[in-house]
Amino acid sequence: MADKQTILASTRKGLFTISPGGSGWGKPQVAGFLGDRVVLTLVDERDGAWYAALDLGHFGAKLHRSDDRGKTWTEIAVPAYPEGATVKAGDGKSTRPAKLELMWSMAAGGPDQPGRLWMGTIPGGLFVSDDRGDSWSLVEALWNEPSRPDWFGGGYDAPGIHSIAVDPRDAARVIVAASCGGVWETADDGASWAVRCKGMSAAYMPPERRDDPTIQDAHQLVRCPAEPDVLWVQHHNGIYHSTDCGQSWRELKVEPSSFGFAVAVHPRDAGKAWFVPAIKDEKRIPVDGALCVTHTADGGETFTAQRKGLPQEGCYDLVYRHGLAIDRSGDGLAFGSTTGNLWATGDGGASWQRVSHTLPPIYAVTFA
Amino acid sequence: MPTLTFARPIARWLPDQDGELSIETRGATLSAALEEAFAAHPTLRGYVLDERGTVRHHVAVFIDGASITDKSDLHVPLDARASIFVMQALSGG
Repeated sequence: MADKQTILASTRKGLFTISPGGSGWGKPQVAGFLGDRVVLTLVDERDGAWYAALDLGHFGAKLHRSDDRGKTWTEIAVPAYPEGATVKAGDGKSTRPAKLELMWSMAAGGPDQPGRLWMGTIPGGLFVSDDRGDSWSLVEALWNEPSRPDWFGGGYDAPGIHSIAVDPRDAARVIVAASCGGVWETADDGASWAVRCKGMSAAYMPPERRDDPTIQDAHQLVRCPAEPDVLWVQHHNGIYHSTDCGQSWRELKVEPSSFGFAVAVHPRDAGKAWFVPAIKDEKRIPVDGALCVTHTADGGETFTAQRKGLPQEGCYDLVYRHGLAIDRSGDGLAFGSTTGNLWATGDGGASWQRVSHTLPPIYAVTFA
Repeated sequence: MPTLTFARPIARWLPDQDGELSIETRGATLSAALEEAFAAHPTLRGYVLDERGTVRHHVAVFIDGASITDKSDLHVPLDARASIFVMQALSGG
């Protein structure tokens, strides 16, 4: 366990780090922004920088960068929509000016693109930076995609991009996913985009629109770094798996529920994936009040429900889409809940350990 | 006759309703069709419309797969075979 990584928990009341200690974990330490809402933290493996996306409510969305693992932070630029940009969601809400509401996803570019960052936002934007977040520009081709005005919000008022997966073989190839706006791929560094939702369906939509690729509600998309053509999606309607880089998708039925938000894939074995299920749609609580992680080790042919160490009665924790993370070893995972519980495993989920039960509501978990 | 369907997360607030609710209406407009449904199921009104009679912000109304564009104007003519679908965004945790 010499290379066990630190957990970063982005919460409603700040950013916390939890370091490995002994056979388990140490106490959560404040790494910044105590009292403020940290919705997401990116760890850039290329240069070690941490990026914390804040939602300050009255004061808007703010972005900070740390080059010393959270000891000090510098506020940097946030994306801005161009003058005149509007949001017209496809669910009948009135058109309004596009203004930054939330920074919902971040990803580092390829090793051959120092300083390159991608940012997915609400409403419906994808932005790019080539100077470590000191400046941002809108990816116009996706913003101007004809279907984009018909995307609509899921849990949020407006649609947003929550997943960004850069192809490690070729950093100009990027896949993003939007709620509710489908899965999109560029092969030319964002200059053009194609929708990748063949096989996905949305039972919650009117019958005429259920197979419409541009309204699919992928809750989260992840890509295996070692086998980048393998993608896993936790969709509003179920779990989807692709082995051809999103050209086609296969729906998987999983017990006790195929509904959830979060998904993680093993860094080297693309057939291994983890999900945190909940009762679908309006309930969003663990089935029978018993928390589990569903895991496949064979590319979705079979699943097991991992329960050891997780509460099996009276549990109402929900795990958001960025609330589950896997470390670089592939054996360590951690997830945090809306109730402020944080669990971790060092054996791929065969057993889980509660790291904290007193954190604020957790939005996102990552390893550093 | 136009068919009006309320998605399960709306219909579940009606007593004894399991699953989505579908109603055939005689309404010539969206407003008339909704009023028929509200007459039969008075509870529905407050889940679909706000106190000003506007479709609630997070409720969407589709006619033959296309969303209405003005939530405050329900005087939309309906084809006799129109399929109306009323659904909602479901929020967060």
